[in-house]
Amino acid sequence: MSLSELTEQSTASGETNETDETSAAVGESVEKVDGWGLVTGNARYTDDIPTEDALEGRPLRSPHAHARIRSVDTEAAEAIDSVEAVLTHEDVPDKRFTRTGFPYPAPAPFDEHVLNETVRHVGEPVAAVAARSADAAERAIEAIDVDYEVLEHVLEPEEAMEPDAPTLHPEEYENPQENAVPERNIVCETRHEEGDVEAGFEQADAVVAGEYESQIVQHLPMEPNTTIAWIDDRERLVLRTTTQVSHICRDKIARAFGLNRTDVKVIKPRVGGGFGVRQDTVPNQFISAALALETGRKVRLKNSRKEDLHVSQTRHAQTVEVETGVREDGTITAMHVDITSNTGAYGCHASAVLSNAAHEPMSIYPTENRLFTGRAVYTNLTPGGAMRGYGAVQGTFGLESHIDEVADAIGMDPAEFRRRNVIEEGEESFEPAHSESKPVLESVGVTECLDRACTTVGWADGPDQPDDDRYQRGYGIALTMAKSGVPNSEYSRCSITLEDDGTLTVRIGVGDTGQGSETVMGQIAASVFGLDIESVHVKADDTDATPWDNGAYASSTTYISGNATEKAARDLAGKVRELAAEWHDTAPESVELADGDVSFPDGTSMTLGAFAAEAFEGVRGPKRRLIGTGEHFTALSPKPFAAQLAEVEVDTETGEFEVLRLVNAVDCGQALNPANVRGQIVGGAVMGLGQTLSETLPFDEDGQPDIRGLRDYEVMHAPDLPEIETEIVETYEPTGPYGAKSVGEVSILGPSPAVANAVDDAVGVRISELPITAASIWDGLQEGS
Amino acid sequence: MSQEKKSADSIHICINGERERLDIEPGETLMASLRRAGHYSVKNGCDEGVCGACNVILGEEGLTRSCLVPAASCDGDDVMTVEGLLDDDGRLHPLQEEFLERGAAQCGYCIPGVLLSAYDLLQRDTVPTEEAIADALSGNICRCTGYVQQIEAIQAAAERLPDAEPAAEGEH
Ligand code: FES
Ligand code: FES
Repeated sequence: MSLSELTEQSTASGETNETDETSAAVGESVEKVDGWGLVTGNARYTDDIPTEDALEGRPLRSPHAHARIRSVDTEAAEAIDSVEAVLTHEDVPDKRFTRTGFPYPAPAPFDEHVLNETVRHVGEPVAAVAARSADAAERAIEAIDVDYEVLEHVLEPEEAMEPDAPTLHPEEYENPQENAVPERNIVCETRHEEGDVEAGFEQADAVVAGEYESQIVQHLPMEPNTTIAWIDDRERLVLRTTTQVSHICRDKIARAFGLNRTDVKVIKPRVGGGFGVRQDTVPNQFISAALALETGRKVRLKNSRKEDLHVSQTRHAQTVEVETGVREDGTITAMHVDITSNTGAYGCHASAVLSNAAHEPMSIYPTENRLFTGRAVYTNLTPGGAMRGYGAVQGTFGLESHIDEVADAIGMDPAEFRRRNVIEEGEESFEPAHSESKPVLESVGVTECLDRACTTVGWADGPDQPDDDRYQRGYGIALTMAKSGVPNSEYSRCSITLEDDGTLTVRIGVGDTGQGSETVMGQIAASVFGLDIESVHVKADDTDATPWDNGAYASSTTYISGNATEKAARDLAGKVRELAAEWHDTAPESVELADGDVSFPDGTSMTLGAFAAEAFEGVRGPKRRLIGTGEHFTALSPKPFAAQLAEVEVDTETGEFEVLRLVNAVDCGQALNPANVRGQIVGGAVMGLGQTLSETLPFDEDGQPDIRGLRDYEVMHAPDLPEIETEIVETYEPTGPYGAKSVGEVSILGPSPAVANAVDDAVGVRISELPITAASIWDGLQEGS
Repeated sequence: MSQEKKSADSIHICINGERERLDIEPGETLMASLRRAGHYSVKNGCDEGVCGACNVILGEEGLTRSCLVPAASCDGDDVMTVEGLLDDDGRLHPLQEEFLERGAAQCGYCIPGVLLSAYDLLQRDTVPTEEAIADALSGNICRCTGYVQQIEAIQAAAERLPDAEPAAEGEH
């Protein structure tokens, strides 16, 4: 807005808050509330503030995959002019924690310090410095002399579980997970059976088994992890940082350093992507806090892109084994999924990712007899974390590849086989045994997704084959399911103020890292009053200003925070009605709120703005500035579904292949903002294609990350895209805000198995290891011929 | 001349039409000195010339990754950042409007660089095909959007720009 525009507008209408064309109604693709800043370059991310006065922080990183630090000599570093602090493991609190972004106590072992005496992966911080210039900080890092006792390291879970393998966490820790055997590097071991799987296999006409491997990939949000930390004028610790969970970050930092929650504030400015990596409180944040506390000064710590690629929590590499018993008629009689998950050096998401990896994909096929067994194992690699899909990418690759193999074994069309077994409304999802979640699903559009995707491509006819039969095309399909928050864990609270011109200030601690959460909260609040989106301001970027919200987390925002926002708006609407009724001597229920107006039974009405102004002027009684609040906590986690269908073309002489088309039919309940929903679907699908086709973070035998930087990490670029179609298959989730479920993760799950299945359809080669390469198809072709 | 440039601790450049003096540190990239001077729309996504977040339009060079250019070599140059897309009254460029309209910006971190790649393309090609647009974005990494809505927005903006040829019959 400009002064001249404002002047013109107020002369014309005498009002400042009326905009004509914009609508906030849920279901409309309103522009993002932060959109103007994003397209003009005015959006301010963590490092986009002047920091001339800040010290430069730098970590010293371990060159070894596993080593005990005998001693650290920091004298030479401290002697460098302009070095203000040098910290080692001796200077940080002794109490261990988990970086994982669950609220305390979290389903994860407390197995790390801010700086550890034993380092367990290459790149783990050993020491940290703060200096008045970047150059001095770097010289100081080089001047630190560390005496390492290099220990034997282990990179593969199978080897790590051997009796003679080195133990990564020999000292006892708090909060061990289910069946942990730390001396054998087992973070947790789980078994969840329903029915009788043995008996189920006996009833089968065929039992099909397969093994599927997925690789380590990185989230790679475009803004590297960055923190600016300082002590404010009330001696509080402030972090301006790349987080998607500001309240959890505040909590973690406060606990780690023994501070009152009120003595820590976390500012989450615009954040350049997240995808889960910012769900943890990362070493960058703990170290920045430590350096600010130590020096009393402002400290800036920005990971380089290469550091972020090497040391940010990754997606877990997993081996997924599936065994399915099936009858000739296509009935699944039993299913057993066994997963070994490589959690790397720390167990932050070991057990929750493992659990999700099986429970989500297995939910799609409710069978009486099902069993999940699995284990998560420590190794000397970068820790695995929370990445979009949260285990279900790996599990879905395994299970949905396998489902095609099962269909093949009984000679049934894979789409038809899915149709016969897929979950329906009123059936129960396969929830973790310990979960208190209510498993009955009320909105299930997966069959419609399947049908829509098949119709779109003409599944029954198969793809048009090129004239030259050297090139073969195939179709492959995969069904996916995700969640809408962690049941009985997520909590969100929202407060909405009716300002005296009829606009709304919504305070809610959502972690918008680009998904549009703030926009959706604004739409929900505005819709309750029939206001336009420009009449709402969403404040979400500061833990001082917002009540607790878990943040961007398990696809929870639209569902959990959205419900809290709707409740707060309805609470506020109730208060408006009450006061209005008092003025007009009528019953509150008879007062209507719609289109930004307050209407009375006698046919008169006033704008919400006029109402709010009178309320605050106190013309008709005491002054009022009405505030509504709402909170949401639930045992429910409604599931979004998708069917994703890929078409590929394979060159039978070379194994080279191309994904030509990817159709995504998605059931996310009601789409509150269709353009943003489409953005989530396409963004997830393309990230999933990256994992399928090219992305990998390799390590050499010493545990060194084997890439020099971004130039070696192959993500999807615009020219690599297949034709991508999205179809929103709307259902209505009765417990969701305006019928919505989540949509952030469901479309990243399907591309890998859909492409693998399409390759098999094209040339009869089953690829069961990611990424899918021309070389692996070539090998398969050779074996087949 | 070039000797002189090397030892300079400040340069003069013209940023979005405004002459400005930039202090530079030895060996500093154009990206770093622009950012230090408060031009935060120039994003550091990798500092290794791969992601395109730091794109600027640099004098005769045109579209340039400012993290690959020594600041000292830019004395006297014209530099355009995404702020230069706004018209004199501060109104959005059609590219920016279409990005907003079509949900083509999620986190926004790649957006200044993507918009400048698009702007550069439209200078050369007023009726770009989808392939030409995708190629023009080949040097930009967007981790959020999957590019599809960005490509559509660029195409829509191209159609709105004055010298775009009227679309052929039946194309819509
Ligand atoms: S920051 Fe220059 S290309 Fe990435
Ligand atoms: S919008 Fe986030 S990287 Fe492009």
